[in-house]
Formats: sequence, structure tokens, C-alpha cells
Amino acid sequence: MTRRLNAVGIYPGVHAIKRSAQPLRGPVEIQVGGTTLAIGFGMARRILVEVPQ
Amino acid sequence: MKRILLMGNPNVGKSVVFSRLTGARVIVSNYPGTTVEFTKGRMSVHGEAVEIVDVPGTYTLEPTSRAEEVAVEMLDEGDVVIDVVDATNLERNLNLTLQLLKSGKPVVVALNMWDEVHHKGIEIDVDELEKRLGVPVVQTCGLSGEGINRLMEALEEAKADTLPHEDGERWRQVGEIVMAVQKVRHHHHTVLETLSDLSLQPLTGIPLAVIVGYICFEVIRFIGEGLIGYVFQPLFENYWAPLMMGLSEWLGPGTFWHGLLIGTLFEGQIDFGQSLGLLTTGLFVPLAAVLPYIFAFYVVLSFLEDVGYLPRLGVLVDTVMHRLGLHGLTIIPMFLGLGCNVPGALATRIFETRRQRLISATLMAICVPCMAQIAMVVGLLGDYGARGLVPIFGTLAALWVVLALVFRFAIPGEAPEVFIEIPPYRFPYYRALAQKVWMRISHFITEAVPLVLLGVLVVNLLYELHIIQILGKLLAPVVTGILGLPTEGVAALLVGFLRKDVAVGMLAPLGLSLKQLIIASVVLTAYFPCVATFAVLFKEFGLRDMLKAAAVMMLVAFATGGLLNLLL
Repeated sequence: MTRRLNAVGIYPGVHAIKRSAQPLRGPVEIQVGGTTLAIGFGMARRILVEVPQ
Repeated sequence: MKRILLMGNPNVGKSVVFSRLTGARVIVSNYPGTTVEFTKGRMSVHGEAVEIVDVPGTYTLEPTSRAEEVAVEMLDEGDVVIDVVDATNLERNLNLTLQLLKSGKPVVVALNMWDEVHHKGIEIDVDELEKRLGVPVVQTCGLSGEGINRLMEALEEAKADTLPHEDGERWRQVGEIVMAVQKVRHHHHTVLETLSDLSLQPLTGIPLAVIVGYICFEVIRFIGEGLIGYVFQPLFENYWAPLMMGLSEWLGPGTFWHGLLIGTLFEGQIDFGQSLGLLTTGLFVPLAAVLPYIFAFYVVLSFLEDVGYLPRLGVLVDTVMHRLGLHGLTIIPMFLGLGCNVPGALATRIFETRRQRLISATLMAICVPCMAQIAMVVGLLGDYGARGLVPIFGTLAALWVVLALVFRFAIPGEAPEVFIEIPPYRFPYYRALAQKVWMRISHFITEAVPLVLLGVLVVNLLYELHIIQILGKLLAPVVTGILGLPTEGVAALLVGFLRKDVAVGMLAPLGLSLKQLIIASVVLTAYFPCVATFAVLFKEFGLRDMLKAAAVMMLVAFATGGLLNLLL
């Protein structure tokens, strides 16, 4: 999983924006740089984020 | 011969560059994974013939799906790589570029979608980028053809292994390069970006999807019915019919050639739907009854593809689809399958697991009728309106849901989670759109029309040789006993293997009741894929799984047909 995320530019320290989420544990859409990705809930919830102040 | 590979992330426009280079026509769309198998073309560079390969998109050289595996396998066999990079998305794209730069193959970078860079408030220092990467970097715009010549000239200067680095250090290095070469001005949300957010937010996205679906349906109906009613039907009735009547008199009814070319006369007249001659029904079915709907469907589908709507719809329905054990993007093979099951089956390659590919291909083959068949069914049952069409398409839809659930629990494994890039919305480029529709239409004319003629020929031969009559008796327990159809229905089932549209057309002269028409239409959709789809499924999944899938199809089709016979 980390390999796939890494390949599209989601790696430790990167700045990401959550754009929207589907209900009932559906996919989550996140934006990294110029890319918007939809990733499954299971994968998304294992990404730990820090909210900037 | 030297082999040049076009490689890059998904949806950066490799196929557009490919068709610019080779003049070959390939399908391009605005979503990742349109190219699922590699396409080869030829061109000459400085007088030397070279082969050029359009490789499926990949984010990394450590493959995570079948399409990516294909890409990596191809890399070994290439001599030079043109790395196509989406200039509006430099950072993510450079990750693959750096991997290619240490693969040992000489590389040239094409900074594609250069025309979009300025709109997005991005500035890129190309000279600096070239210096840092150590290979030629050329700005291109595939759609307009800008920069393609310079790209070809740059091939001479392709270099290999210019940027050694550790795998773990790659993103840091990419970050440094991007910092040095790219400036991004803040820009406001565009209308398209707002629309993108709206189509993904469930609250607005679902109503929007319903509206889009309704508009598509109405547009297809409007174009299809319009073309048939005002163009093709009058053309055949007013110009072709008199010619054929002349030929009919000249040949004389009852002779062998009359039966083959003109077919049966009804009250002394040709009936294009039912006469079953090569020059009457054989031409009327594909050209006048089916082609208008195929055209209408592909205009709409191609528009949705180029705008970039399909992956958004896939994400929107994913929650429901996963409850059925399917991946949200299963809608893409289903939509393509509505046009023709062959590209639908190929599109299943976007899935990572074989299980997911096999399930979606089987579901499509059973429950998704192709546009040719739909057009004929609508033509046949149109007079009954919703009373005829709702039971048919409703049964197929219900069957789709039930089968998905059965597969979910019967075949061990899980549907993989969604993992897809959402492309930005784009205004379709009208020439690319027109070219794509034309390609799909001409594909239909060259591939399907001969099969339609063959189908009509086979029917005539089977009747002539009394094979239908014999088979009809043999299969009577199934056809009449279970399905409640007349024994002549066997002929339609046989021909359905060649072309389903012809098979549906053959139901017309049988004088079936509404109930029988519904049963026959459903069974003809589900019982077996047509020969073209069969060939693709066989190629994709091998003999064993294909036979298993075929057994499921037969069983499901006859069980459903039998059930309808009892219930209706």
C-alpha cells in the first residue's frame, strides 16, 4: 500500500488536502499538488495526518 | 528495427502524442487507463524506419496492476524512451522520470499539455529542467501537434543514466528540482474545478449523476430515432426498395439466388426487417436499424470520456458497488459494453486482480446488451412502450445485482479498494472527439457488417439444409418446454452467436406474443457472448475460465428465461 501511495506522490511529510468523502465508509478524495486522487476508506484511514495550525 | 517507447503516468496524453507521431488513430479519453494494451505504429526518423509503441500509463516501474506490468515488460524491449510528462503536474510525473533515468535506457522528456500550463498559473524554466535532468526536454501539445517535430529531432540526443540516486531519496530529489524550475502563481477556483467538487460531493453529486444520466438517455434517443425516422428509413424505403424490387423480378421469386439476396416477399413486397435476404435485411439491420443508435451512443459516451466524468461517477457509486462486492470503476467496462461488449471486456484490465476482472467481464457478458442488440430490441418492442422494454431491461438489471452478490460470496476474495486519479474536467477538443466517434463507427462498419451478412447467410443455409428444423425438434424440450418459445426460436439462438442484432431481428417474423418477445430478448442477451466477445474473453482469461463463465451464462440464461415464462 505504501508503495502505491508513494508512486502517486503521497509520502511522509507531503501536504495533502481532503476535498470530499463518500458516506458509509466510501472513498475519500484527496489532493496532493496538482493531483486529485480517490482512495478507498480502508487505505485512507491508515494515512496519519497532522493538521497545520 | 529501433523501437521507441512512449511512457509516462496515466492520463498525460501519451496516446495523443502517439497518434501525432504515427498518424495512427487510437482511442484517447480523459481518464487514466484508456490504453490497456500497447499499440504499435511505424514512422521514419531521419530516413530510418522505427517502431513506436504506446505503452499503458504507469506511476512507477514497480508495477501495481496488470496494465503497469505490461508497461514494465515493454521497457526491457525498447531502445529509446520518450517520457511523456504532464507539465501541469510536474512533481508527480517526475517521480517516474527519475526512475526511467536510472533504467539504463536513453530518455527524452516531452513536457506535454504545455498549452494548459499558462491557464493554471504555472511557469516552468525548461532550460533549467533540462540541465538538472541531463536529457533533452521538449514542450509539446499533443492535441495541436505543437513541438512534435522538435521532439523527434531531440531523439538523437537521448541519454541514459544521467541522474543516479537512491530509491528512498527520489521524492526529495524531485522536490528540489520542482522548487528550482517551477513557479506557481495563486489562481482562483475555476468554474470547472468547482463543478468537479460538486460532482464528487455526495449531496450534489448524486442528483447531478441522475441529471447527466437522463440527459444522455434523451440525447441518444433523440439522435437515434431522428436518424432512423428522417434519414435511413426513408432512404431505404424510397430508393433502395424499388431497386431491390427490380432485382427481385429479374431473379424471379422462388429461385435460389432470390432467396439468398432478396429473401421472402410479404404480400409481394420486400419487408426490410423480415425478408432475411443479404441485400435486404442484411444491409438494413446494420445500417438503418443499428448504426444510428451506435452513432448516438458513441457521441454521448465519447463526450463523457473526454470531459472526464466517468471516474467521478465511479467514485460516487463505489460505496454501493462495494456492498455488491464490486469496484466502483466497474461502471467503465459496463458503459463501454453498452456500445460493444468487446471493448467492454478489454476495459476490465484496469482492475488489479484477476478475480475482479473475471467477475466484471462475466457480469457484462451476461447482463449488458450491446447497442446493436438494444437498437433491435427497441425496434421490435417499441410499439409496446414501457410495457415491453421495462421487463427486459429491468430483468437484466436485477440479474446483474443478483449475480454480483452470488459471485461475491461464491468466489473467494475481496474487491480491491478504489485507487484512482481524478482527472481535471476538460472541454472536449471537438476534432479529437469527432475522430474518436468516427473510429468507433468505422470499426462497427468493418467488423460488424460482414458478420451481419454472414449471420444472414448462415440462417439461409441452415434452413436450406433443414438443420434448423432438425435442431428445432431436438431442442424443443428446452426452447418450447422451458422458455415457451416456438421451435423456430432455435435459429435465433444459433445466429445469436454470430450477431445478436440479427438474432433479435429474426424474432420479428415469428409472430411472438409480448411475453415471448420479452423472454427471447432476455435469453438472447444472457445465454452466450457473440463470437467477437467470446474471442476476447478467451484471450483474456484462457480456456478454463472462459468455459466456466460460459457454463454460468447458459445456466443463468435458461433459468431466468424459465422463471420469466412461469411468472409473466
